[in-house]
Amino acid sequence: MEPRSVDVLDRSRRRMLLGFAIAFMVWQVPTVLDEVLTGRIPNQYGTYLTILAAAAGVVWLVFAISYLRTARAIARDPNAAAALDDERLRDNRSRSYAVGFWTLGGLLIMTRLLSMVWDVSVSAVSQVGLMLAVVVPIVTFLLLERE
Amino acid sequence: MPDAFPLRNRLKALRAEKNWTQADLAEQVGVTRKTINTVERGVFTPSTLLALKLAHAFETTVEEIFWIDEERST
Repeated sequence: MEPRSVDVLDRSRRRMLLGFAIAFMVWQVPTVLDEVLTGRIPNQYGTYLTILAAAAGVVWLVFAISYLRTARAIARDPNAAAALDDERLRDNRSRSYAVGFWTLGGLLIMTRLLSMVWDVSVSAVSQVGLMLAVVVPIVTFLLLERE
Repeated sequence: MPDAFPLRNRLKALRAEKNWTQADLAEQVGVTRKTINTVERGVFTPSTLLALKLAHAFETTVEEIFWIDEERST
């Protein structure tokens, strides 16, 4: 395995992850807004948001498929697979999951406190939680992996 | 927070002696070039296994590559 191709696969994987995270967030934000602002979004903007969400959903699917293809390309070479899952990467992955865990914990605590003064929607919280659970660990990992 | 026992290394000098790039060394020990980079800069502390692999690659001992900065640790 050429040393450069490990770098190329690494960069490709990070690009896919970044696209995946951004597309997922753009896809989910309209739904989150809809849940949180229940009925307060004017119809015209609601339509635009729906179109944006649908487009972002398609883009997310493309990135998800591209990421799987990159993962398969990596798996085809055991040396590259081992290098791209080395101890530093595993360490960064663990830290990213930990940040995601504490973010969700913070969301739950915030929800609990808000519910004392406000009627908090379960579906809104779960939608926000879903978005954070996916995006926060990915973004954390990418920040830890930046050059 | 600064480490009380900062780990230093001679990886860059050893690489230069052998005319190896970070990518060359990374391939030999089975990690990414970025991992070698972060170890050299003292950002990432390698495991015992990785330290031994690096020593093996340079045909030397771990203590010849890594040491604790005694002046800063006291």
